[in-house]
Amino acid sequence: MQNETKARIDQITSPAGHSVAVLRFEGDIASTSKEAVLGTYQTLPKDSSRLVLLDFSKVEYINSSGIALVIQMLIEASNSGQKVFAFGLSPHFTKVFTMVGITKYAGLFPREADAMAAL
Amino acid sequence: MLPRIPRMLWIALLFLFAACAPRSPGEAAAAPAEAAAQVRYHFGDDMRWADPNFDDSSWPVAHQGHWPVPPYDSDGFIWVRVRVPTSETVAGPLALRLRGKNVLIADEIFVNGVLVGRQGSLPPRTEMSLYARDEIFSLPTGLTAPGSAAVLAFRAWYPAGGRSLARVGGEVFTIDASQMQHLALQADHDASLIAEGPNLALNGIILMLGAGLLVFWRWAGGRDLLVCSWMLMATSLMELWNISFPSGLVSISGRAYFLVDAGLQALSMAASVELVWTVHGLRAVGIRRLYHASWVIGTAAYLILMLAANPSPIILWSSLVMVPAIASFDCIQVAVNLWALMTKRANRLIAVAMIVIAVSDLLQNFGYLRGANFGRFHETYFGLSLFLCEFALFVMLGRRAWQAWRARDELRVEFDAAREVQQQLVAPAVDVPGFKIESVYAPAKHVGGDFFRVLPEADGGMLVVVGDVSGKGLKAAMTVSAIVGALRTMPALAPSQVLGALNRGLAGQLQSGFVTCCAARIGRDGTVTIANAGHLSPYRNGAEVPVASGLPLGIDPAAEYEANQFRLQPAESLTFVSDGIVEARNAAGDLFGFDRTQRISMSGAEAIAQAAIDFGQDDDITVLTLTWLQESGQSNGPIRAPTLEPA
Repeated sequence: MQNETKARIDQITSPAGHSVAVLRFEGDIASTSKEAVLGTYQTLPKDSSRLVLLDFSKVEYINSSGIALVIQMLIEASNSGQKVFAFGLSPHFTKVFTMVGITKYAGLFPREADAMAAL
Repeated sequence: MLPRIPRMLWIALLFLFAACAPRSPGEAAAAPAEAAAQVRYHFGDDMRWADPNFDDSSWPVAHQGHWPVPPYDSDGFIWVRVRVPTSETVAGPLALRLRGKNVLIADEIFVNGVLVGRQGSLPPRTEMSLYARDEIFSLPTGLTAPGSAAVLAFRAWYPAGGRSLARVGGEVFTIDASQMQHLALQADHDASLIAEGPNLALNGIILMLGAGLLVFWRWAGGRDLLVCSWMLMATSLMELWNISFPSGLVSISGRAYFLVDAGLQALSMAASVELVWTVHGLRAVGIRRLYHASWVIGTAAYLILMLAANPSPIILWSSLVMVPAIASFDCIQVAVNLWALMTKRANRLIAVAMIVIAVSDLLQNFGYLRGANFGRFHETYFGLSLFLCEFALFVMLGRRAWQAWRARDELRVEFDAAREVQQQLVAPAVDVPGFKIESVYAPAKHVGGDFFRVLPEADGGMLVVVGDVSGKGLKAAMTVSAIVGALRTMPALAPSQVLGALNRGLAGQLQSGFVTCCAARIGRDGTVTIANAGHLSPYRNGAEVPVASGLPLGIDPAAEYEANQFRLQPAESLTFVSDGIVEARNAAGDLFGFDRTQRISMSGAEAIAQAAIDFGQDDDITVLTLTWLQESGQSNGPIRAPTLEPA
């Protein structure tokens, strides 16, 4: 049984003083999560959100259709010149993200603090 | 839906009068006196009133034989006295026949001061005698003589729920030869059953139709069928119950009767709500709750009024809310179906049937639709409209479900055929000399998004391609067919070139999806050249092969794929799996994972796939194991081409 995907945006400031948009996801990410993943991302103003942090710490499962959505979002971010980091993935999904080449578009970190330090 | 509402309505309305203007025996005594042989009554309880010599001339006379029931706030007792004549010509043992008129009552009957019978049980251990059934009581020899008039004293107790100002009392007493009384009772009973014959038959038919729908639902599925079957059976059982008990076909206590009756009534009304919401596909949660609340309140109030023995505030409240609750149930049913009539073209006939049921119920409840006699038969207009509408519902929903089932069955046959074709196209059995190859292809649905190809080459080697289209089902399967078609016509290329060619062909075609794919060329000498596009790396003798991974196919047309090379030792194996293995999930949501996969990667393809299926298959599963036996002289032997037989 798939858990509904929830997403929200937090605006924080990095240690270096940059404004960072944090997309926090919750539940499962699958083909039905298009609005939660892409829809939420697309509400970010491209000009002012140059740094984007993806929080997967409350995500329980991502299937191949969900990974496709994440890749689509990362390509869009790359084309817009945004810098994206992700954190909170389980070791399993860190491996899957690495396997499908997501590391070409986003740095993966275990915790939020590690990602913030890299910004 | 509530065939006994007139009785309930009367009780409820009369309660209001009873609560506002309670009367005393003294007030009743002001009624004008009638002839001496007439029925006289007195509220209260005194066993001396059974004495045939008691002077009851000061008691009020019951107008036309109908006496009022005791006031709401009284002890509920009333005594009725009447002189019952016996014909001079009567012969043989005598018997008293009582033809009841009351709704709920417990009573004792005295003839010339002797207790000859009782119905129900008087306080303090009360048990109501429903409808004061038509009953015969044998009279002891010599108690009364032919040609004389016996003094009959009737001691009755009405429960609080049944007291009102109405002149509802009015049992008829006759004394005659016992044999004649029994013959007359049997004749009346038979006539009553014959009169109810059409009602019994119509409701029996509806019950069978409901059971038929239930059987069809077990076969074809569909919530509308289930709910309609539930409604037809509950309604017909309630109607049959209401006919059979007063007709004497079933004999149980009044309390048990009302409990069963209220239960069937609740089931029937709840089914109506669910049917309306299911068939019309409504989402108005607030109206639905109001709809449910109206039948819950109405039924609870009805049950309280029927079962309460002693006066209490809850009885007054029940009498106040019962009728509005039941009426609002019918009104909501009419309103919702009127809306459906105007907006849901396909459901118009169903909406009309539900409106007719609700309107006829309302009209009957308020006394506008009674019924008619057809010769010896009697039928209520409500019963007739209920039968016609429920029959129409059966036909409409049954026909709709049958068509849907036929369409699903045709689709199932198509999918079975597609699955067979896909098994032959996507996962053919292969045999390459010098290698032992095993494979399993297990789609999560009829058709899958995984694929693999083993393409033998003229030099004794082979090209192995294993992949997975994101998503499942028909959409993924169509993409797989395109990929397999491309692989079949592709010239001999290096693995990285194979991936590059597929990627360019798929880019922009997958509508935000992608394809993970691993391609490996394995020479007859055990040399492996491998390139990967986001797919799981294969396992070499139980260890994951470190392969540079590129983007999945179909995302970036400019993506390039790096190749890695290594050499197998004799008897070493390579195991390719799809993510259906590592992402198999059990009921607790745990993943099968990479570690478990690695631990069993030396097993055969069947064992690996079965382990994941047993854990909890969630996606298409593909396993391909390949063992290099050795480079031998026999390598120049003939190569068997892939067959088109199932794996």
